[in-house]
Amino acid sequence: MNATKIFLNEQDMPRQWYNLAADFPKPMLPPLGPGGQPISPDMLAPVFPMNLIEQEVSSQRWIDIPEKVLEMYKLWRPSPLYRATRLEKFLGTPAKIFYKNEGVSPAGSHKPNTAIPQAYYNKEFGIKRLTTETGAGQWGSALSFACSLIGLECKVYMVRISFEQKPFRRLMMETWGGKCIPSPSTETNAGRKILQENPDTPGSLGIAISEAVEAAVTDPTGQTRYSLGSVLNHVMLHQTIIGLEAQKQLALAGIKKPDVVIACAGGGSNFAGLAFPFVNDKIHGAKIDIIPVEPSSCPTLTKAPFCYDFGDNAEMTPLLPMHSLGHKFVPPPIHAGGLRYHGMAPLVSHAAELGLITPRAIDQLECYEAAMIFARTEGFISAPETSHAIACAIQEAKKAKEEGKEKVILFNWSGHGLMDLTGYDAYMSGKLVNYPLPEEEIKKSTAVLKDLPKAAIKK
Amino acid sequence: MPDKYDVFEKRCPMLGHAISFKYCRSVNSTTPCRKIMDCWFEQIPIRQYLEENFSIETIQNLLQPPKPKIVSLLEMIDQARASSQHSQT
Repeated sequence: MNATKIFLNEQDMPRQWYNLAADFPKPMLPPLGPGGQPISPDMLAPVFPMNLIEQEVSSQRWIDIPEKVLEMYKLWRPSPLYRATRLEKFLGTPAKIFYKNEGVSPAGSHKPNTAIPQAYYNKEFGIKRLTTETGAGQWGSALSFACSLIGLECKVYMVRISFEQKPFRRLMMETWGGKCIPSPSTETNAGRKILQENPDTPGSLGIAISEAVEAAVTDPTGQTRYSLGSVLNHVMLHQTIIGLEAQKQLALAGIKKPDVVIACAGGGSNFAGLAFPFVNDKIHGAKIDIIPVEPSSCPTLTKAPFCYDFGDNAEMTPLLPMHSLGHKFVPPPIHAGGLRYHGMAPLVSHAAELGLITPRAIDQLECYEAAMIFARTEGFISAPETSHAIACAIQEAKKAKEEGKEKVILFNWSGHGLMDLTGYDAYMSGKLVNYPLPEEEIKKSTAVLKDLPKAAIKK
Repeated sequence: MPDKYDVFEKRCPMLGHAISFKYCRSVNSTTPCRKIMDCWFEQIPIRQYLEENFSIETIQNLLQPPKPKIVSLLEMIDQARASSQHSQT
């Protein structure tokens, strides 16, 4: 009888994170400041400890995971690798489908993989408290959990309307000892200013971020820093434990290498976490299709050119090398909130430009249909973002069936959707529609990029 | 100023729960959320609504995407420092 779950012993958990930046055939382009100069580490020092900034700019291939972080990871890691036999049977595919279950973490997603080390490195640097912002509360929950284990104070600025309407996420944070403050608050200049102008304001994510950053920057003791759960290089680095574990688990299952590796790509961290170790294998000769999946209605990797792009309408902010639809692009609606970044994480953008990964866009109806099939075969109810990876895995499994090939498909099941069931409700009641972006819209949107410097990369 | 569309509700993809149109049109005090067009175009003639109620400059600002995180962070560091110095003087 085939095993449904492939476990890795705790003592076999990877002891280093993998840094893809060390293995790129062409090096990463640095982010540029307004004057055309690269952004220096010192500029980030007011919000991040230097040990994390060193990881942010590191070109070292392997970075040791501290023993204390490994001990805390053991609460839920190594996460199980599942063989999706029921899904395979439903699809009638000869493919072997595996998924890494990151929903087993206490916070229910992959987010604690970076929350724990971020809290640890801040503590090591002498920091006493972390600040962050949250809307729905997923990242705020993960960081509160991490700070409770490490022994740091955690202050989460939660958008006031969410604070009032999402009591369960707030209670999760408070259960873990996080101090959850409705934003705007009277604790910061940014918050007081807003409240003075409009005492009844429901708040916004932008205000909450400003408050969290201000609380870190202006602490006179210098013992407060800010924490971010996506996009940046050190966040991608911490997440690579997902793929490194998966490599060992596949070996235990007698699989030398997967044929296809899949994860959804929003800010990039859960894709990077599973995929980057396999990108390393691909750089060194392995034949693997590595697919970041994004919504067809808001493509950044599948249809956009690679170039430097401004981050603001005044074109005064630093230029960053990234896949971009242009800074005048407005995406159409979709329910997977985490997948709506203007620019992909720079490491993921670079991998795509070098042809190491093959991005794919899938529409939201197909994603929800896939999530429903998954729930009714494998049992787990997926986060809306996670459903993109499932949909792609099903596409690949059907393709394998047509080709009669016994492919090995691996995807990242990045989190459960138990706190986000309204999207399922909308799908089941027929309220969702698809919004593919027309070619004409893409051309119009990217026209603003034609006069900007082209990123000098050759495949 | 109440609006005829304020009774409409939908799930905010950023906040993760249901909100009314009133929130979207006034989230930044007097200006709308930058995602108002892509969130509401199914239910409301949103471009027409915006043209009737907001300046061209405001609408053009709405057409800008969010800034990259690292860029936003650098800006907010500067703003926090400036605000702190101002409040001390």
